[in-house]
Amino acid sequence: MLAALTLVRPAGLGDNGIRAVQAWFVEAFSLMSSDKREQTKGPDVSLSSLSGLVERSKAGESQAMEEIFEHYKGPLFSLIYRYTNNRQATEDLLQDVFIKVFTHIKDVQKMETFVAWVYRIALNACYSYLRTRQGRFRQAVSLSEVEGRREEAISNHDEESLERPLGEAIQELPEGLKTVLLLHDVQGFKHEEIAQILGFTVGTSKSQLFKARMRVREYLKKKRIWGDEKK
Amino acid sequence: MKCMEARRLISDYVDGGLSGGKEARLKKHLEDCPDCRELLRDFERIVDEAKSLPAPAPSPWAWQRIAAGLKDAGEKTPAARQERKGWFAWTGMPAGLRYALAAALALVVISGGLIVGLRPRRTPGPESYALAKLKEAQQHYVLAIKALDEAIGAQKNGLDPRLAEVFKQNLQEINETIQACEQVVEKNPNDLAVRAYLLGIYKDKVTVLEEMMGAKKASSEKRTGLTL
Repeated sequence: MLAALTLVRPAGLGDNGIRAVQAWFVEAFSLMSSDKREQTKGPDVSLSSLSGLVERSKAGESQAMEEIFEHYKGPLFSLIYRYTNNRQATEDLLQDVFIKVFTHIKDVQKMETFVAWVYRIALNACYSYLRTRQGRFRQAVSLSEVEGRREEAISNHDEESLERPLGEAIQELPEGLKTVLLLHDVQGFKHEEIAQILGFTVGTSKSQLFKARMRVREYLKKKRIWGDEKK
Repeated sequence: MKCMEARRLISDYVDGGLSGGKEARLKKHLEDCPDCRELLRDFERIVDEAKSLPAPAPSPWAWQRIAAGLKDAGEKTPAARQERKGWFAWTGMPAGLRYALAAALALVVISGGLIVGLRPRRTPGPESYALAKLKEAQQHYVLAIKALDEAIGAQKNGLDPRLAEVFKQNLQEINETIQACEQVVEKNPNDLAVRAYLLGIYKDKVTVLEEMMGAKKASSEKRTGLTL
């Protein structure tokens, strides 16, 4: 747990000066349009139009803030939901994230890292939520009850679809591995972008993704979702 | 190539991130290693399925909540507080004198307000005008919701049970939000922002009810089409 938490540095509100300053980061969103992640990946918005929106938001223009929200609400809601697994909590966290973003938007100086900064705020909100929720959760529900419900949920799954068990497997991942897998495989970010968001190297991102996929695979095999067929 | 190295490369290979030389070496290893072939197949399935995981969307009134939160946060920021408490700071007077000046000014404002308020043909200020318009709009929405409820009740055909459940859940969430918001309005009847927020939720309810009516109508037309 501690190791996973240290993977992500604090969002550093008031300073979005994340290491690399490269224009590809925001522009890369528009390149990720060939797969099925239309609902989850970042929006197709150019750096110049995003920059204009941020400047207008700095001036307190509500319409510009709403446009930024419209661009990122889908991907961020989807990401946060994977941590909370609870619709109402996700709505609340999404609200907190955007309030933080817009109350600190005047401090944004490097447009190229704006998206990474927003994602870091969202991820830190998720980790904070999980820490408080886990404390309450341990007191409220016994582990055996939860295990029972999970087994029941898995045994009722559609044989053909991996959707539910995969969601369960992702839920089971440690925070750090889960974040990399969600950003890469679910949201469609590249390793370079993930490294920028999380503040580590591309190599670490690749290594974390490998570990995350291995854990997911082990989970699916352990739960007999997948057999051991060798071809 | 040993399996340990191949496993690491398989993850990059699935993402199309291997250089030509490494890819060729990995492919050669895969030809001879059923375990690594199985790992490759499993990783491909995980990646394919992860792309298709459902992406839930936020509620239609998410922005209204954020806008209200921003307004609240704006009022609580140190800068805003400084702005408020700094009204008389420019005078350079000691604190006691500044309060005395503020009290005197307040007295002038209150007296002025009373005089203006007691005038027989006073015109309403912009805020009271806005409040009146918001109240009027609120009544309009309440009537529209009631009419839509009745119209939906009068429609004979039902919805697909799964769709009906989605509408039920949405309406339940909206109703709960309306209830909570109405309580806040009751406590702060002159708060324009809260009233505007409530209107936004009413508007959402009208939209959902209109969609529900449209879905019922479409369901009815589909059935008629099938029987013809």
